[in-house]
Formats: sequence, structure tokens, C-alpha cells
Amino acid sequence: MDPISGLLAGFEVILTWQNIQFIFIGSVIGTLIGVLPGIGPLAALSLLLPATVALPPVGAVAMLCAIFYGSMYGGSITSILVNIPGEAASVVTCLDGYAMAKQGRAGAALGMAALGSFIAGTVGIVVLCLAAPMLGAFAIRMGPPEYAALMLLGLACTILMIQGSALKGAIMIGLGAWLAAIGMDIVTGEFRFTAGSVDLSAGIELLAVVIGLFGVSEILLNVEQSARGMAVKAKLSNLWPTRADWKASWAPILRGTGLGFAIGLLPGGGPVTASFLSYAVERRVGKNPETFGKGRIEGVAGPEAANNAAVSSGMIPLLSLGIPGNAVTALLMGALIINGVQPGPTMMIDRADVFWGVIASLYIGNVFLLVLNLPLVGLWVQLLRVPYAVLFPAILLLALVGTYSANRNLFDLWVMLGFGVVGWALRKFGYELAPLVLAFVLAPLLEQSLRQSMVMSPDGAMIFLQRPLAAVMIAAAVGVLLLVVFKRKTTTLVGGTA
Amino acid sequence: MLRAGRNDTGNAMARLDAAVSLFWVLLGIALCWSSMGLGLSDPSGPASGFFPFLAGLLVLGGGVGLLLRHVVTGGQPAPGEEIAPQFWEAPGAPFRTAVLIVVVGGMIVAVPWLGFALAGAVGLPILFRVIAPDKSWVSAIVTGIIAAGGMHLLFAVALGTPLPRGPFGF
Repeated sequence: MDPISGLLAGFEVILTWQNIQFIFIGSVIGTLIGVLPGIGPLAALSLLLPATVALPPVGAVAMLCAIFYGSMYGGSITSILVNIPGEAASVVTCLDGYAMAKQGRAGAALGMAALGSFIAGTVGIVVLCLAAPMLGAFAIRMGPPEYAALMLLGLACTILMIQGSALKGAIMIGLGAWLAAIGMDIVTGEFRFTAGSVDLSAGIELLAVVIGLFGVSEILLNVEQSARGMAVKAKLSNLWPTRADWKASWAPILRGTGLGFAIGLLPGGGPVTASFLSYAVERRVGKNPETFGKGRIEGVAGPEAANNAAVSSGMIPLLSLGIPGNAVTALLMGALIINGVQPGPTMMIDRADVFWGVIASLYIGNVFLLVLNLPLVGLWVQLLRVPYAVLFPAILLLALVGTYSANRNLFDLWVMLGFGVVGWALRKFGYELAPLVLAFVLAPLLEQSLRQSMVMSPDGAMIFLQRPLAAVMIAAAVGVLLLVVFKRKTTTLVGGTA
Repeated sequence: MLRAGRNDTGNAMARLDAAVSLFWVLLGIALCWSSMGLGLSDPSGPASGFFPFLAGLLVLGGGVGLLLRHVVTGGQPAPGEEIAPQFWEAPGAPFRTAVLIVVVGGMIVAVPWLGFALAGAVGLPILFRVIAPDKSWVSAIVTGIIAAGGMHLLFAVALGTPLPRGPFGF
């Protein structure tokens, strides 16, 4: 199916009253999550994932994508108005956005953030439409050895995305791979690490793990502090940017879109990296770089465009190859699997309705978000006054009910709580949890492909070198690992400890 | 989170961090040992224990590396590594955290008998009060009932999810 026909078919799937409702609800919830500091998109998606289990696959994933997009849009509101980023990708928006708000230009900053995000999101989706099927058509010719090599490359890239200690990241990958191995071995039927427990024989539920690690641990960290609602002093007027604002912003939006799209494609890249890099680029290419941080609209337009473009391009490896590039796309992959859809090259053929439906839903979601963000910005600001004492316990109950509703198994609730406590403790010691989840998702696929490859190979592991594509990907994985070592060594030499 | 410094609390966190690293070493050894029991290879290729063995090696290697780093650098964090300056950063944090874990655990235990709605209506007010002690019990109870009722309406009524029911039929 060519992209135009595919997209038209996708709109046919998505343009039902029910799906539109799901996207609208997702956009509202996402914006709300983005506005409220404390709960990031990852925690929100993991907490709300169970609520989508009962929905049809297209509606469920469309709603989750809308939540992710919405949190990106909403995150800029608190950055600009109260200098507190609603989520990590909006940190750089604080610098110039809040300075603009203090100068009485909060409306222009908010307007440009929303419009820049909309433009980048739309361009990103158009490229996604063209690129994902091409990549998928290429990937469909891949066999188990190529898949095993691809998963290996994905895991190697996971190490590249680690910001802090690579050793701690490696431990998290090992832990994730081990946790994924718990349960019955699908090849031999042997039980692994179940300690005789019937509950563990089917393995550990991904949903309970991610809700615990990201959602519950986030709440535990926040509950330690006595957080309260906050007051907003900035006045809101003239949300539509002026001609001068547009003149200053169009180039940063285009640069941010291109940069964000490229970063989002890379495993380990994502909206946070994209927004920081875009800000760095704007400072470098902009006139009078010393005025950045003092209310330059380019410092809002570029990063906001970049983080939204990265969200779109992050969907390409997920939908076409079945490889999640970051923790959020790993979670979306989990949502598809829970709904009986296996992302990857065959998805375009087996579940073309979901593939194109999800892409079409991104267009709709983007329009909803623009409409929700510009006229209703005052309403979102009022939500900052919701006391956390009400918010967090209610979210915990949502997590409990949602986790239970996925499998109707009380054991999953204990898993969720256990991983919540473990995640909370690990975060205090600087352990990043995203590599654990990525390994938890990728390791079973790698193990299965590896064992299938070995069964079909008369020459053992040589099959990975005899197949050119597999050999190239393994070489790339080795290259990535060497890059990590080189990067760390350089950092150490420049000044720090490895 | 802040980078750990070299003050007393930073040293305490560095020691705790080293203890966690030691735990990884022990876990890695246990995983490798158990995996070998499952078998690492058979005539067709990797056996059931092969993959968990690799995972165990990664955990063990990482743990050993962290311990070595601790010895060499005296517990300094890696560049970009964000370790909390101290385990409990705010006054009353151990109490709030413990109550939250115990109450959620209690709710899980109570769910088969009370159902989610009733367990939530009992547990949530306690959490509200612990997080915001300045609020009255009356407002905590009312908010708890509203939140639990809303959750019941969303999952059991709107989405039709079969949830455990309590003695009152919800």
C-alpha cells in the first residue's frame, strides 16, 4: 500500500466517533500531565496504560500517543509561566520562556510554543508517513539472524543513551534481561527462576513493571517532599505571535524540526536530547548569543519544535522495525503487544488498520492539541492549583485498579508495588530505569531470534557473519559499544570520573 | 537530585551506593550459578540457561566495576550521574514513604474482601492526611470517597472491567 492510500485508509479507520473521543481524551490528559509538574509523560503513560487495555487496539494506541504529544505541548505552559518544567523536554523552554513572561510577553511565548510544536509535529508526521513504510518494506526481508543482530544493536544503543554511569546502565540492562527470562522457556518448556511459584510461571507482567518503576516510584519521590499547588502571576494576553516574532522564529522552527526528527530516529534519542540540542544550535547560529536566556523567542520556538518532531520520528523504528528507541516508545510497544498487535515489518501487512490508523491519529491529535492549548491556556493554568495531596493518592488508586484490570491478577499488584519501591530506591542512587525496561522488552525477542538462528544454521554462530545485513548490524553494535567506551574515556580525560 | 559531595551525608550515600554494588555482585553470581543449572547449551544451540547467564554476567560485571570505581575514586560519582545528596532529603520523608507503602500494601490485601471501591475509600483518606496533614479528616474522607467512586465509575461502569466487589456489591 502506498503512503497516500495507506494514510487515507488510516483516516477511514480513525475517523469514527469513538476513536475521535479517545484522541480527544488523550490530548486533554496529556496536556494536564504536561502542565502538572511532578509526573512526567513516562510515568503518566505507564499509569494510564491499563485504562486502555479494554479499548480496541487503534483507539488504545491513538489515545496513548495523544497523551505523549499532549504532555509535550502542556510541558511548555508551566515552563513559561512559573519557571517549572512540566516534563524534562521543557527544561530549556524555561530559560527564555519564563524571561519573556516576566517581560509581559507570556502570551507570545505560549503561542509560539504551541504553533512551533504544531508545525514540527505536522512535518514530522508527513515524513513518518513516507519513511515508515519504506523501512518496513525493507525489513520484511529480514530473517531471525538479522532480527537477532538488530535487537543486539538496539541493546547496544540503549547503553549509548545512558546519561550517568554506564556501569549502572549495564546492570539495569542485565537486570531487565533476567527479569524477562523469568517464567516458562517457550522453546524447551522449562521453568526459569520461578521458585515454584505458579504466579511467576507465566513471567512478570510488563505493565506491572513499568507502572511500578516509573509511576509508583515517581509518586514515592514526590510524596517525600511536601509539594503544594502553586500560584501563577504572569498575565496572559495576545497569544498570537506578532509579525516580528514569526520573522525571528520561522528558521529556528525549521532547524528544530529537522534536528528533532533526526535525533528522534536514533535509538536512545528523544524529545529531551532534541530540545537541548536545538537550544544549543540556536545559541550558536543566533545573533547576540549573550541575550539567550533573557527572553529570546528563538529559544522557545526551536526547542519546542524539536521535541515534537522527535516524538513523531521516534515512531518510525517502533512501527517499521518493532524496535523502541526510548522508554516511551517501549511503553507504546508494550501497549500494542498487550492489545495483540506485534509492531514490526509485518504489522503493515497483518495489521494495516492499526499501522495507518495510528499514523492518521497523530494528525488528528496534533490539531486537537493546538485547539486545546491556545484558547484554553487559562484553564490549564488553573489546574496548577490542584493540591498534590489529592492528586497522588488518586493516581495510586488508578494504578492499582488499572494494573489489576489488565490480567485480573492480584499478584500483579504486588509486583507493581515491589517494583515501585525498587525503582524509587534505585533512582536515589542514580540508576536510570529506561534501560531496564528496554532490555525487558528487547531481550525475549533477541533470545528467540538468536535461538531460531542457531537452529537453522549448520555452521553455528557463523550464520551471523554469513548474512551480510546481520554482519553489518553486529559490526554497528560493536561500533556503538566502542563509541561508548571512547566517549566515557574522553569525558574522564576532560575532567571527571568514569 | 544533586551530585553527591564529599561531606558526611555524601559519604554516607557513597557507602550505601557501594553496598548496593556489592548486592549486584552477589546477585550476578547467583544468576550465573542458577543459569548453569538450567544448562548453557544443547546440540541445537543455546539452552534455557544461556541468556540468563549472559544477563547475570552483565549484572556481575557491572557490580564489580562499580566496586572497583568506588575503591579507585573514593566513592565519587561518574559524570552526569545524579545521586541524591542523602537518602531521606526532607523532614518526615521516612514516615510519609512508609505509610504510603503500608497503606497501598494493605489495600492490595483488602481488595479481595472489600473490593477496589471500598478499599480505596478506606485507604485514600489516610494517604491524603499523611501527605497533607493540615487538611481535616472530614475533607480527607470526602475526597477519598469521591476519588474511589470516580475510579469505580470509570473502570467498572464505563469500561465494564470486572473488578472484585466488596460486601456492599461494589
